[in-house]
Amino acid sequence: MKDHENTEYKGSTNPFVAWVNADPAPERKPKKEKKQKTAGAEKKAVASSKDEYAAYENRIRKFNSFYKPMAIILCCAFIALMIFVVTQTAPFGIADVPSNNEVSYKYIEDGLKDTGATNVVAGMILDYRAFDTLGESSVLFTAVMSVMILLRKDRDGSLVNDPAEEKVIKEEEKISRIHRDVVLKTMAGIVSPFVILFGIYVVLNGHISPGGGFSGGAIIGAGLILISQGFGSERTKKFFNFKVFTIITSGSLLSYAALKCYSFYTGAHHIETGIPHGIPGAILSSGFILPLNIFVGLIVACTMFGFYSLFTKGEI
Amino acid sequence: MHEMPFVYNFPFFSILLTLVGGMAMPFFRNGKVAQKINIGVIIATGVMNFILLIQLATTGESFTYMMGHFPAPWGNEIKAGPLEALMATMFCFVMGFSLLGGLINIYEDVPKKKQYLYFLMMNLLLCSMLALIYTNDTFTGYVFIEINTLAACAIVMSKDSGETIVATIRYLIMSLLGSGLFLMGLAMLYNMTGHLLMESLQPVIVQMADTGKYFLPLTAVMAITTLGLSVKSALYPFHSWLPNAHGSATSSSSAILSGLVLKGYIILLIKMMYRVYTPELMAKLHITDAMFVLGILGMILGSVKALRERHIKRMTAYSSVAQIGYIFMGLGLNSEIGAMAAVFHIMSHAVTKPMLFLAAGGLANVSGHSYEFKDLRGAAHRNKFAGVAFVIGALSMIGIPLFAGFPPKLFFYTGAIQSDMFRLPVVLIALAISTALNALYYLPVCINIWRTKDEPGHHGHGDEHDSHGHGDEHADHGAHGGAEVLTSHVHDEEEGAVHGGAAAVADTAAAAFTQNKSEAAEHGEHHNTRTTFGFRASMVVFIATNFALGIAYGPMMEVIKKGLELL
Repeated sequence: MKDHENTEYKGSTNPFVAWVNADPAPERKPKKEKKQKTAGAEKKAVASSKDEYAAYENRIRKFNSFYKPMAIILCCAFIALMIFVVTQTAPFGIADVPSNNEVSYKYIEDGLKDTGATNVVAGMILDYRAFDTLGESSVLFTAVMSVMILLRKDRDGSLVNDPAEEKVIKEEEKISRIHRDVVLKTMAGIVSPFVILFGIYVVLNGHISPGGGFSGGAIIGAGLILISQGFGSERTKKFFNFKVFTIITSGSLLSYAALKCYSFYTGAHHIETGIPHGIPGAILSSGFILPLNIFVGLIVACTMFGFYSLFTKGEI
Repeated sequence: MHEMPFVYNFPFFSILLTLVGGMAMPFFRNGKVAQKINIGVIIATGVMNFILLIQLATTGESFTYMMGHFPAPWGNEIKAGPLEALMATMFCFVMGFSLLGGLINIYEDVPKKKQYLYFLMMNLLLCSMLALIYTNDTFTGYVFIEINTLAACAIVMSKDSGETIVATIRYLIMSLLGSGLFLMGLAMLYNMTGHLLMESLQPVIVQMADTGKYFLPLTAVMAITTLGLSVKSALYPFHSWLPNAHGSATSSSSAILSGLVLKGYIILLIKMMYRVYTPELMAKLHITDAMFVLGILGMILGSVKALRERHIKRMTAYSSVAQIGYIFMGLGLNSEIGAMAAVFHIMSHAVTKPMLFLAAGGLANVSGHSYEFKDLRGAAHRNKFAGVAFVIGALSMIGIPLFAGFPPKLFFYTGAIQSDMFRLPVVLIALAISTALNALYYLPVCINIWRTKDEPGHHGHGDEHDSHGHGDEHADHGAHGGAEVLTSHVHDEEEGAVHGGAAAVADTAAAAFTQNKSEAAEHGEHHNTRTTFGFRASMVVFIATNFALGIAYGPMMEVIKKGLELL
């Protein structure tokens, strides 16, 4: 074995044999440099890396000068084509179009009777097509969890766990705590209760008036972000920390799934759910739609606030 | 209404179980617990789908399952037949063993506090793929495509490094482009037909094609939905995101992305093709022609790209591009056997590619976590299971009889004969070239990983790198030396890069260097063979499945044929 120690194997001259042996790829050097063998090895290496870098930069520049115009032209061509195609499809807003068929007719005619919701849209997304909405809520959940993988600070050796950076963030927070923006703070104090209250109203009335879990949840989330902006994150942390966040998000989703499991299972087996639809227009009506709206609203609010705090601080 | 068999609930149960399993994980916030939930869910789902498969394959029926109290065009619905059940069973199976085989790497690559999120994403990924398989509604398909996209990106970036983040961004952009095109197509389709349910769409579309009404938009819709799904499944010119994403992720992620995630979209495409657009109309509007041409290009150019790689995972990833080309070529043949072969190829690729990725990961684990060919020399001697699995996977990808890759190639030929006169010679030549290219890039690696230590060329590079990567292990070995441990650790940290961490025992560096180098090589053989039971088990199971598919392809083709008829 020792014989081999000192024999440096430079790779076979036959390219195919070199390939099979998986020798390191031959370095591609400009032909000029092969002649300058007398020059010092280090100097050459520096020069060649500099040259390589310049060549690389040049290549990138050339590629960009070709790529950007081509991308713009391609996009414009595609947009023009799609606009032309869309003009060929059925026009919007007149009665005699294919999309005006028995499917949408039933939603409008029987929606109230079937679901008990005066808001047809709520009936459609939370009762007729509740499986899609379950998927949609899971999309939000997936999104916030993905962002968490990417941005959440992990104290056990993650890229973002830089003590110096943490120190800077803490200093900044300290400064901003002392010199809080008065206008923002005052306005946030006045406005945010109303914003959140309005959000709750939109969620709770989702089945009897326009709105619902998605829009109401977004309003609540905006209110939470406003509080966090005005009073600092340590204020929101008192009632909304990571634990609360996971409990609310996962809990709402699980409750949503549990309610819908029941309704899917009974539906597929043609069993009555035994859930009364109530009087249309009353707050306690339309079966599962009210609780489902609340769960969706909670998920959306948490997702919005979760995105905000993950992107600003890297933690909830 | 007659009572439905209890088995018919299983598609619904499996989708909900995977979803609920994922949602429950944040309560525990613990990687080990999440892993147990994940494995449990996958086993339960796999068993349920397997029972369903047996039931449907013997009775030869398909059924629809109402998701709620409203019948089909108004409410949501899922549909299951033998093909769907077969695919779902296979997906659960492959995902379970891919996770098992790569567990050790998951715990190494993913930051500790985020491990539960990794398993959460796996659960959601399985849920979305099951939903894509079972859906009977195009819009439900879109919703679960979204989950699939996000979860797939998440499992790439969960390995915390700059490389994976860049790869994820590229993957996300291309993937969103694909979903966007699909959504646009659906919006226009709804505008023209007023339906989203697959069953009700088909008669309207056939009628539209006959009368010639909305001819251009219909063509555009079919083109852009197919294009969108092709981008997401990395058909040749749209594959640029794939090598980075699959090459840089942790082994299990690569295995699942390559083996399953790409296939989920292709299965949706097959469902769109058979249940919505009808193959005849696709052929008439030349969409299958485009799929055929791009598939052929992918088969050859993907392999050419793979030939130039010297990074084992990137090479395997480029090989996926070629294999996706095979599948699209089969779908583009306009013949029943071609489509059957394509479905079979989905399966054979799904059991082979994860094995290759896991084996590559296993080989790299014993070679200092390097994926470069030069560092993998002789790696198979250090991890025999991975070595054998890689060779078998490679032979299967080349298409040697007895392996899973052989039957689809055989049926591609049969399908080509059934097809028209132009396609036959093209398929024959392209398959020949592609097979040769596959052999050209897989065999050198197979030879290389089984090289023995004494051959020339070994001591130049591989050895040093080996010992470098295992500096910590040699340091552990040095612990027998008592007090020297501390110095050796310090030594390792200071000069590890230069000396390859081999200076565990000796004090005088210069004298020790040559001596330790040979020692390190020996330790390499004794110490680095540690593989987990899970890894070995998953390799054995994958190898067995590969043989099973390669030998007993007859019954499988029967099921696929029945499934395609019942789609």
